[in-house]
Amino acid sequence: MIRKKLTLFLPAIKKSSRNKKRLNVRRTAYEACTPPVRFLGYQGRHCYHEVTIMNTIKEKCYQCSGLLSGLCIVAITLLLLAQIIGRLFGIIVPSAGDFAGYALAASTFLGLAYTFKEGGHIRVTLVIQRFSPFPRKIQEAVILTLSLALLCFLSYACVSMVYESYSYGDVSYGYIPVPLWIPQTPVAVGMVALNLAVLDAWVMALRGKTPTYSQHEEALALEEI
Amino acid sequence: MDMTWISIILAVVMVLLLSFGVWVSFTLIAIGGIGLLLSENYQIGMLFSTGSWGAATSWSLTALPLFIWMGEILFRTRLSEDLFEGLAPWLGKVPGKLLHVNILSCGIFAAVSGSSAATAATIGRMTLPELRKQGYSDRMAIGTLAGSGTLGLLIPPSIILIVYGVAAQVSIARLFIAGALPGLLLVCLFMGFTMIWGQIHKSELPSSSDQDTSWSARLKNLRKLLPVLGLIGFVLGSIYGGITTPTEAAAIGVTGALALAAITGSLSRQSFMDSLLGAVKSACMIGFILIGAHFLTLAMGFLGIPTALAQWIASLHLSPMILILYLTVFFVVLGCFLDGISVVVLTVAVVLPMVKAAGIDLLWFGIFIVLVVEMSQITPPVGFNLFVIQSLTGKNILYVAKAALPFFLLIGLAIVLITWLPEIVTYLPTTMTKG
Repeated sequence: MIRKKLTLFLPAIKKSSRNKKRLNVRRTAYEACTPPVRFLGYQGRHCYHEVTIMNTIKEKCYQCSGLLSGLCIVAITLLLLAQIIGRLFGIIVPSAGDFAGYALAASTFLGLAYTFKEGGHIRVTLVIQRFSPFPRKIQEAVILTLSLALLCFLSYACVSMVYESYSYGDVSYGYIPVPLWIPQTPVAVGMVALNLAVLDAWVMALRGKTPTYSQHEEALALEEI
Repeated sequence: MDMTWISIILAVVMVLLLSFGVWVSFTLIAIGGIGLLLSENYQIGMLFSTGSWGAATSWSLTALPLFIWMGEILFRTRLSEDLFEGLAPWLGKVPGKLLHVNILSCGIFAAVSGSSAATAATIGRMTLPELRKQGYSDRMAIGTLAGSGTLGLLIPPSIILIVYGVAAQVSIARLFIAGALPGLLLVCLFMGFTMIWGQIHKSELPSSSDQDTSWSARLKNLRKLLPVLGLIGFVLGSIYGGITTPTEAAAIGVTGALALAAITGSLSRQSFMDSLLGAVKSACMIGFILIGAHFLTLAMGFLGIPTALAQWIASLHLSPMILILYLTVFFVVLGCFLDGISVVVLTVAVVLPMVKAAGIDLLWFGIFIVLVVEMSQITPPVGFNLFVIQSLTGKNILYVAKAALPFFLLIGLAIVLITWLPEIVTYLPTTMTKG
């Protein structure tokens, strides 16, 4: 009787503990990803002092990109709540819709660099994951070169949009007229930041290292749709 | 240059870029740019920047980061445990037993989250180990999870419906409400199938369950469901009643989710920052894809490809049914290699004028395409739900796909049903107060 019970339960226990282990591995991998600082020194080899300082500054910039974008999302929430509560008491928050839109654009663009570095932008890895290491490195270098060219052009386009809004003195049509170059500046800044992030990855790829986004792509992002 | 040649070049370049691992958003922008170049329009930079500015500040799109954040907050709470404990006493006696917990808790979580992978991951990490411990068939536990995880896409709030609504310029409030009945239909189909399966395969279910199914346990555990049901009622009710727009409802939803996390004690500085940064990652990724899609749509408009395609299809005199059949096959194939959002934005850029010309309701088409995308979530080689469950269980992706096959067919059945009876989709939106 007891023996029967044991054999019944053993596989179940084994399986569940294996499962837990797997979950734990995934969890630690996930936690290791969130604070980017933990990746400092991970690249090894280049342990010169300046390189470390450079890396710290870079990490801070990436973090800053993510935090600013998050701050904009919080701002949107607060703005909309103010609008809803205000309406209950008959107070109209002027141009709330416009400002929410500006915060949305700022959030989307400012977070691009952080998302890129964290491997958040999706791509089709079905073909490339079958490549052996050397062709894979060439492939990453080629697509990063193409992306870099594209982004230099896009940064130029966004910066010139801000410059034109500024020089023509464009203002928004809403209740509060806002000079358009002010909310457009984060768009240009975010685009340039993404450009720099791609440049960073490109330099890494040319030096023969694995770009940061690939390291993070290995850990599956649950947020993906 | 001849338009046929331009279309062929663009399609080939797009396939090449995508398969060589260029990011989807970058590819969309590049194809748009090349298209404009080939049509000898050299205002590319100006068109991109002003177009993106318009697309990135749109009011309906504001709901997107908020609903994503709401899901991220709830993902880090005890919600999945509460759902399991609240639902289990009610389902212990139904044929198929606790397998229904998978379906129902996915359905409930889908009503507060907009993503299918997040739904499958949140529910699965709680239910799969529990079902295995109690001796349920692995295959069926995985299948029900994979199938009902896709409900996250259809049951409002849904990220992909926001994407479709913004790209196709259809009211998001109406899309959300239109998704409710088909979502319930899917839940019923899944549960019906599980009951029939449970009757036939009694041997693969644990004979006696240690689940307490007394009424006192049922009522006591029901309390655990109240906060989340309240949140759902509030968010969806206010959209349906026309009290708030989906965007405002999203802000209320975020506040409610934060309150729920605070009450259950899972809100800390760390979890707050994690959820916010997680939301940033998804929202920026989707936002940039939408910007790319907007630019591509613009370029396609200049090239006139969609209109030409629409005229060509019109000249074939296909009946809408045949067209839907072709489109379903096309999307399922596309969905084997691309993720849902890319399928939707590419479709909207090229196929929409054709659909309009065939006299198909765009609201109905939105729900249809989401159902097809749901199917593609559980087809190999690229199906995000398969990836999620693979990493939860360590089972091979083909095993998971095989386990999910009946549910793939059930979603197909749902598509047939909504094509046969379009009122399933269009009835609720017509009764809405406004929006």
